Amino acid sequence: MKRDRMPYIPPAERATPDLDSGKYLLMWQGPQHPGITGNMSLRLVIEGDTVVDCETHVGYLHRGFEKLMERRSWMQNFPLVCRIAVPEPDFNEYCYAAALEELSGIQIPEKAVWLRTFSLELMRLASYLMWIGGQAGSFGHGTIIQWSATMRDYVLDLFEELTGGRIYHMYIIPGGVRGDVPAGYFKHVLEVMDTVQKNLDDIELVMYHNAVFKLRAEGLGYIPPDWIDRYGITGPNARAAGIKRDLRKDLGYLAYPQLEFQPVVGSKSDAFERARLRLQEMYQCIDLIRQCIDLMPKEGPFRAKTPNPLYWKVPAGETYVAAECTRGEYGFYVVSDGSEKPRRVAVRGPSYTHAVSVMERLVRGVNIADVAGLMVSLHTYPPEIER
Amino acid sequence: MDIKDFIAPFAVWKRAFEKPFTVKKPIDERPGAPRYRGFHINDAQKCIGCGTCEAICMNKAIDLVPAAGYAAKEGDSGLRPRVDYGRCCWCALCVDVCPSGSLGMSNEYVWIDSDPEVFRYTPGVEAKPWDGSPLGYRRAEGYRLLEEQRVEMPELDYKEAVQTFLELVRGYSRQQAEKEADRCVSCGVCIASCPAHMDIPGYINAVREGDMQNGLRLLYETNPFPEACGRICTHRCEEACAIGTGGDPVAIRWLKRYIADQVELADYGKVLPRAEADSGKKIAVVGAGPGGLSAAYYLALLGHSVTVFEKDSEAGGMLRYGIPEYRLPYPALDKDIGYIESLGVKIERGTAVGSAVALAELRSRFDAVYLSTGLPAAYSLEVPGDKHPRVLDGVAVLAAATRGEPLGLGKRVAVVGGGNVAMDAARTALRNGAAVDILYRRRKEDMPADPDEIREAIAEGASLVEKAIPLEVRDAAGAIAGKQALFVWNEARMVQKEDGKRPVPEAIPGAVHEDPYDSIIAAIGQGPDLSFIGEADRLELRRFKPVVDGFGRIAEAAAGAAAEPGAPASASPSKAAAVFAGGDLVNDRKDAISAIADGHHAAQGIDRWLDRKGS
Amino acid sequence: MDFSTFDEALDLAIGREAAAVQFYTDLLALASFAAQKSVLEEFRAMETGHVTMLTNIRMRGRIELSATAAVDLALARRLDAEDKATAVMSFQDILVSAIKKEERAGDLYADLAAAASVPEVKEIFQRLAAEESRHRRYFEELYESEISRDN
Repeated sequence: MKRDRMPYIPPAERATPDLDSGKYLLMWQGPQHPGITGNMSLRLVIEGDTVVDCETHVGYLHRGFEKLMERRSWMQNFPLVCRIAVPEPDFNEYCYAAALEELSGIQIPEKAVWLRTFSLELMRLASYLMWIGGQAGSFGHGTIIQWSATMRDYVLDLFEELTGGRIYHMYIIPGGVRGDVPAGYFKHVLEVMDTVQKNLDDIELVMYHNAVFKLRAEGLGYIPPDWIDRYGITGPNARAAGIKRDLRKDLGYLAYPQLEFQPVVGSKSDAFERARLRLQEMYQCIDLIRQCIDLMPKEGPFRAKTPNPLYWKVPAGETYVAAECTRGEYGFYVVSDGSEKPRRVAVRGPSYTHAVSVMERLVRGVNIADVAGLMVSLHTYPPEIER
Repeated sequence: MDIKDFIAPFAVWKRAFEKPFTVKKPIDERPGAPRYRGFHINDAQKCIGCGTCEAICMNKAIDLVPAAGYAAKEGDSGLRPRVDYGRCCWCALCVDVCPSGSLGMSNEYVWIDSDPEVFRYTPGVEAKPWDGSPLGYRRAEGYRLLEEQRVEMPELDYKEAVQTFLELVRGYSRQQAEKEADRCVSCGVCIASCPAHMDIPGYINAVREGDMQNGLRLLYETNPFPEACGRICTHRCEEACAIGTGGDPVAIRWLKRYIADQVELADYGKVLPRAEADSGKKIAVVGAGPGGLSAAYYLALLGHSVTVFEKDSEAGGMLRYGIPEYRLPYPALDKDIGYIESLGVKIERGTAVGSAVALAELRSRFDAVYLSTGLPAAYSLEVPGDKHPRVLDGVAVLAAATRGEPLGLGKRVAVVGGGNVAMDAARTALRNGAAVDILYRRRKEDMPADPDEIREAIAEGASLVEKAIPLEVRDAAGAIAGKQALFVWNEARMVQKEDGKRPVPEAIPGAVHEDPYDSIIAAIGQGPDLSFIGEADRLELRRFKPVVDGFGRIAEAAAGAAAEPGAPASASPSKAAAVFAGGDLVNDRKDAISAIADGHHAAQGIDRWLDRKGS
Repeated sequence: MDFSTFDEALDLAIGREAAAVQFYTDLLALASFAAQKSVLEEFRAMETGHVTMLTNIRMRGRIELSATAAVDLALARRLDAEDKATAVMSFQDILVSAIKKEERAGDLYADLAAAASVPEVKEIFQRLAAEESRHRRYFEELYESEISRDN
């Protein structure tokens, strides 16, 4: 890759505090594991309680997935990929499976398309429910996470019923999915959706119509629209800046072209706007799940035949498959040399751009009490930064 | 900021009066979902220890280990998967891939123990509270990672087939063969069941890879008759096949044939190993059937000079004279034999040992002798009238068909017997335009013939009469006397006379049938012709079988008082060369592949024996 | 023909077994190759063993044979007994002769048991008949496994 394609940052934009002056304090935030943001660390230079400079440090959670995948057969990688992003593993499963299917020329059955769409939306909802608790918690609202964690557990119950797993579902297997829905399943789904929706109404009242949250979040972490392409910002972070970009619409993969929805777009591009937009997307998720249940074919095979998993050789070639995850564009770049193992798999997680370079820029001038809230408002998961 | 932002949060005080979402005892009151991936369960009776679970496991959490109470046997490695929960990631691919479907998972949430060792266990062998639980993760209905169905073998239409002696089975195309080969999981359970212990996963993998030369090389390591065995082998491997536990077994035989068919005889030499330098030893092989020629091939590879004595005018033994050409076309057999001859093996055709040359003479002229004379003599019906001129012997009919002699079977033919010879005789008679009845003393499921052959014989129009006990053959009356025979048989019922033994056909009193036939072909069994072994040869025989040691060497009776007590077994009491034997003559399986295995084994035995003698 | 004592009955049986030994000896004289001889010698040795066994029973004055007859595979009655022994006799021929011989012996004892008036002698013949049925069964099983494999 050529250097000149990297985003250009003029030297003047970065402050160079004189640490020996005694005016500044060097402080590390992280790495510990207080949930989703603590697996990385921020080296903060603060003056009083204001951040002057920040350096993001990643690498504490490096498990070497991309390299591991080069040593496992194509099918053996299927249970591995979900571990890349803990709170929303299904997008990994989908991107990996779709990449394999594309390289091998496998057409998946209609039913599998719908079940995949359904499970991805359910995943999105669970992931947002986790986020909303974190967002509220980082601004001092301990109650919201109690509610949202419960709601997420209800959604995880649904996953357990469908796939046999709560966190790592391993449901979207190359060729389709691993099973049809059990009897009476959609009834449970609709019940849970009603409960979640009712709770979201409460959360909106408590969190979004809340002076404390508004005071702290409004104007925090403003992302100028011209950064979007420079930094590769995607998903709600980009949409909050007024950029109408949603891969579900733009790429039209799976059953999304048959679903009725419009990308939620904001304009203010600050932490509150992003939070507001995500809440709307949660309602949208519930709507999409209901649409999926209505439109899904009742019968039919849910998996296409694939070669013997022990000897599956994917034809030589390369592809990039992307999907809109909760945080933006999630993509798998898969290269096959025609052998029984991938030659290279590169995972593009949205957290990489959002949490490393964008975070470094946004955090300057922010009160240290708001650093965590800012980080959560970018909705980043360090596990997927380090593949 | 408006007033609502200060008031709204208080609205949810209403929650203080609502029932909480939490429950008091979550573990007790909420069992795992029916599909929950809890802890492994294994139906150890159903499991055959193929190790496909071990192969697919990306964490190496599964090890196949010996399990108490499960011994290795045909189609079962005797091992069972042990799961290590320090490594397992609960993906359940092992459950999905399991060919027999014996693996599953319980829906248990919690397993607590202070001893870390217990979390590595052999499901189904070490008892666990969740054993036999109907709930938990199972492979979904309609979802298989492995292909259950065999690629269908193109065959001639039966109506058409019965008109000709063209080969019935057409053979796989490249695409079909590769697709079929891809069903194999290389577990290798089949290897133990193959009498010759062929490297089956190896050559199937060669088909998958499209590497025919490597495939041929692997075939010839243990079997110099791939063309023949690829068509007519009794394929015990397929009975052991792990894929067969949950679907059709892999078509191992057809894949073998595919490899051999793909390589031209002229190219064999480029692929296959060359013979070692001339050892200076000469070895006589009696009988140019698959067993004798197999011994000849491996002896020739070891550098010995081999002469094969064959009583018939062509080599191949039962493969040529016993198996009709629609099952094994002569060019295919000639290819196998041709390669063996190209290594310098001399075949003395039309030279019967016993009449043309005495065994004793071979023993003085050669350094070792291998007997692979098989079972050429058909046993007779042994009922009154069985010497009637229209009572024919099945082996002789097949041999006459091979020689192209007119069979003169007539229009209505009875075949008595349920073995492969009976099926082949019946189908040969069908191809000669006869209406054929196969009369068998027991039931269809007791028939020793290959199920495919029974199916094909019936499909081609033979009618099967089960439970028919032969009673008598009578001459037809009148002008057709001597030209037709009446076959008298008694209907039987199967009676379980003794526990643990197979049921015995018992004649139903009065249910006697009498049918006229132009020919009655007896195919009840065959025996050896051992008339060429004289007493002076002092070879030990028991019940018309040579008594052989582990390498196929026939024990020799002590030479009177001259033998010194405690003399080592290898020291021949006489000056005559040692005699080895194998094939149908010795083993109980009585099929080509066992004879080939015996030949290979004896070749190694002879080589070792010669070595020992030389030193 | 009536046998009134234990010894008389056993003398007859011993005579029958000795005749069986002679039967195989006669066949051995006809045998032309080693395989025939080894089988005939084996069978003759069995009959010699029977002679010894019966002689011992006679000496001890007590019959120690099981009264349980072997299951009848109904083979013996079907087999064609017309064949005369020849120099080229096969394993089948030898086995058929052996089965037929055991069957004849069993029949004879059964007839004698029926005719016997002394209960002790009747029992001896019944037991001898049962013993012969076990011998016949042994050869019949051999016939089923070695000769009539395909039918």
